[in-house]
Amino acid sequence: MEGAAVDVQNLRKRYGDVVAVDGASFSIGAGEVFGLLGPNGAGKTTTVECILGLREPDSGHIRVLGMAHGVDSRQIKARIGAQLQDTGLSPNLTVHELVELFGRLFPRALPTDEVIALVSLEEKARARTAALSGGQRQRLAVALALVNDPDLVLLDEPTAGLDPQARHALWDVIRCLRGANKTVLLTTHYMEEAEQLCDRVAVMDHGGIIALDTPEALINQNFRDTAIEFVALGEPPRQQLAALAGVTTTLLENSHLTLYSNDIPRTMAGLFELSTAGVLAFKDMTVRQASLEDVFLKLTGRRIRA
Amino acid sequence: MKEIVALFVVNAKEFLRDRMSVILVLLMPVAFASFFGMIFSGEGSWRLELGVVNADDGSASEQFIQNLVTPGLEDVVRVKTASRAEMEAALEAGDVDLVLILPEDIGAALEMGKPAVLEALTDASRPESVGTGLSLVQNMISDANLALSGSPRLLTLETHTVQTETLRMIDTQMPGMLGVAMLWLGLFGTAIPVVQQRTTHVLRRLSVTPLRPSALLAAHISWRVVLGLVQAGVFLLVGSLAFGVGVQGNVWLFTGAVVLGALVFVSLGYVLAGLAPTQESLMAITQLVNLPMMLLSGGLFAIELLPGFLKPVSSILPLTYLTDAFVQLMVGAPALHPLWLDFTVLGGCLALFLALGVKFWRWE
Repeated sequence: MEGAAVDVQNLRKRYGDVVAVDGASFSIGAGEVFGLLGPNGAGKTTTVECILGLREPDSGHIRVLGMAHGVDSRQIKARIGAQLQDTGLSPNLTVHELVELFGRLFPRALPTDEVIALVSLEEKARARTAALSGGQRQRLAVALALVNDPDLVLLDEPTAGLDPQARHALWDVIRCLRGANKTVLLTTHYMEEAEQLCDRVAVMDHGGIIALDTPEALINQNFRDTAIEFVALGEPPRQQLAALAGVTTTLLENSHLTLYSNDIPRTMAGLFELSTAGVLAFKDMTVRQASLEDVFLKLTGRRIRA
Repeated sequence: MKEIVALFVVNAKEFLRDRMSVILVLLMPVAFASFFGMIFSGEGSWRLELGVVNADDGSASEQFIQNLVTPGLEDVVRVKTASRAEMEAALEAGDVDLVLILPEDIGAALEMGKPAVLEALTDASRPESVGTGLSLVQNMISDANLALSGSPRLLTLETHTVQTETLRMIDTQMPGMLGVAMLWLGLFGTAIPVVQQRTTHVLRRLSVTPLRPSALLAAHISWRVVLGLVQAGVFLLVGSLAFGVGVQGNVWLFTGAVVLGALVFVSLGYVLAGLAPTQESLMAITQLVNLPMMLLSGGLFAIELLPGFLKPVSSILPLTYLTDAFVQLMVGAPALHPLWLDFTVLGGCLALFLALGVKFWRWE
């Protein structure tokens, strides 16, 4: 893509016998919030590390802000900000000291207090990083990614392991970045996060990209249906379930069944008939709109978090 | 340049806030040296505590005891009198080194010029004080014999030491431990924190900024050289206040030796940090380097005291040369090598360790 912030073509990377990334290609436009969505081990982090220049691809091409690693590594590093998975934060430094230090490492940096305010850590500015909570540490890691007012921000699972409140606080920070017209590459294994934040999402599995579009388009391409989920007790009658009125797709993983239906009242009536006849016993039933979770399930036959 | 200054300042703050490393790197060596200094201080001299039991009660025997210590030996021999039972207990407890027993008839013997036998009790478990003590007492008794027989003293011995100051234990301990301090600066002050920063991904995070590795190393190393100079200052302060150990040689050469020593062992720290994949393996490697260097480079034990097969080992340890330079420059003690050789060997080690340190450097 011309003028893309990031352009990745046929990226391949293996560690010994393990293929981490297997021919991934995608482009991120300037000002776009782009999500790499996939389970652990899908190759998201390796892709980000190759874009950062931390790892050298076995084959394929990567251009970052129109430049290539090896030739322009330092210029690239000067213009990108990165939050790595488990960012090392020197325990004996305060938030303010660490942000200030990182500012000094770049040719150009935002004022320290401004960066701290961006991630709402003002109250913790004088606290040592060792005393921060998990959510605060993640926000500090994101602050370090913003210190040089970067053109491209890479966030590798910024909300992994956070409680909902801390996660939503970070989402606000990322929405701010979108407002400031930054290009953001975000990896996540939270469907909801990708749906809420990303302009476009690339779904990764086993080192490859299996779908790429806006979250809405991904859902609409795959489903116009409503999902009915339940846990079957005993062997579920799959053929009878698939034949129910309105059912378009059935998915079974272990005893966890998902039916996609374009006619909920008739499908539900059919389900209760089977239940009354003693053919089907179930528990924990939910009915919901299809989401990215269902896209992933349909494309891979697995849930993203097994 | 601004990034080097910023990293230097941050390094200093991190170090000073980490109580363990302050204790280990800055205070342990000087405490160690002082500890040995206290144990072996007392002007390096040894004193004979002589117990005397007087079984006689005449004034002649009192007189004898008062004149027992030959003039010139007053500083070396201290006489205490008590009963035999008390003295035996004191000997056993180590409060006296030797007990001299004057027999009942000594007064009469002294007055009438009759022979008498004096008895000495010793503690066989302390042969060194027994040997020296007995010969001192022998001397004093022959002097007394001479005086009693009325013959004049024709020959006397005056002693002079060649060195103006005799070397005490602390005189070699202070420079020796200063050398060990430089070693610890490299092991505990460099290798361990570097591996810690690597395993906790602090270095990895730095590697995705435009920071050059050379700038990071420049900041790390210059802070540690400053730390080495501070350490030398602490040694000189404690040394001169408590033990009268300062710098007898050229102060600038001494400063140069401190800087060079700090550089050599800090670079060695980077080599070890690069070689060790994990914190645990680093601990093992650290001890593998620390123990031989500490024990065999002449700082804690004089190299002449080492068994023959260990002497060649000591001559390949860089710390041997730094210790040798420190001993010469601080207390002016006889050297193993001329100073230029010490500096040359250390310079060579620095070049080698720097090259290896850069070769083995890993961000993660």
